[in-house]
Amino acid sequence: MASELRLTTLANNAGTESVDTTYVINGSAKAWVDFTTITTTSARDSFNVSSLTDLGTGSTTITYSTSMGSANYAGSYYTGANDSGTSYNTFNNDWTGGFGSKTSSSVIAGSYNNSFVDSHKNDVVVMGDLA
Amino acid sequence: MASILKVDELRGIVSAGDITVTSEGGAATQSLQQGLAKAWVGFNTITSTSIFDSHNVASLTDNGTAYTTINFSSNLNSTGYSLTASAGSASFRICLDTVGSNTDLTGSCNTYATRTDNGSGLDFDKGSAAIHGDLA
Repeated sequence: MASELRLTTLANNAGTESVDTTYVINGSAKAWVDFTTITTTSARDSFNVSSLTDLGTGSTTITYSTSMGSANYAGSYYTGANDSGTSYNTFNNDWTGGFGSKTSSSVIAGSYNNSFVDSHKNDVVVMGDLA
Repeated sequence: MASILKVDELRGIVSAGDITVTSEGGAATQSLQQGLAKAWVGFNTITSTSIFDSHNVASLTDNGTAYTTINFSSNLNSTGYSLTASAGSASFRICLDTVGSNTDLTGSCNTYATRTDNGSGLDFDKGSAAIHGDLA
């Protein structure tokens, strides 16, 4: 049977460390995903992500299982856009407004010369409020 | 009235690794364990690679200019975890990237700092990384 505990503070048994439950709830990631866009766009593992959509070279839309409460959440995107040998001459950037929807986010991986590239490893984390 | 729970371990009843928390808006619930960062570190690679502060990070390995390995104290249960990181330099605009064809392991992950103007590697003053995923 499910049980519910309503608290303001969590502390260790010694009482030497504690955290307000506001930080637990607000400080928890609301979604994360690790995925590849090489050959086929697919997730290795994820949390609160229902699907990935391949929008073309380097670009992906991430759709959430449970929507965010507003579009004002913080999203982080990280990738190794150029995987060839010892060349790491790449960086990533996002669509303008890529983290601007409650139900999904879009990200794109690009090289320093502004060409878009697929990548073996793409990681996204979303912090904010759920609906 | 404020309430404080003093415990050393939180564990789910139905599933030990799954405790549900109610969302900020009250309309949804989520797994507490899934949302928690499993590791984080603030570090620099100028002169010597060193940690400012960290959680679940045993050490950093300096693999040469711009290239750092983050070694976890407790391993992740698979390589399908999410690594997000960024870095800043006083001299150039830089970006922190993953390395090669997903070289992350359950016990460590890699970062590489790249200048955005010409793509060359660069050591940096302050880098930050966070890991979200499943612990072993």
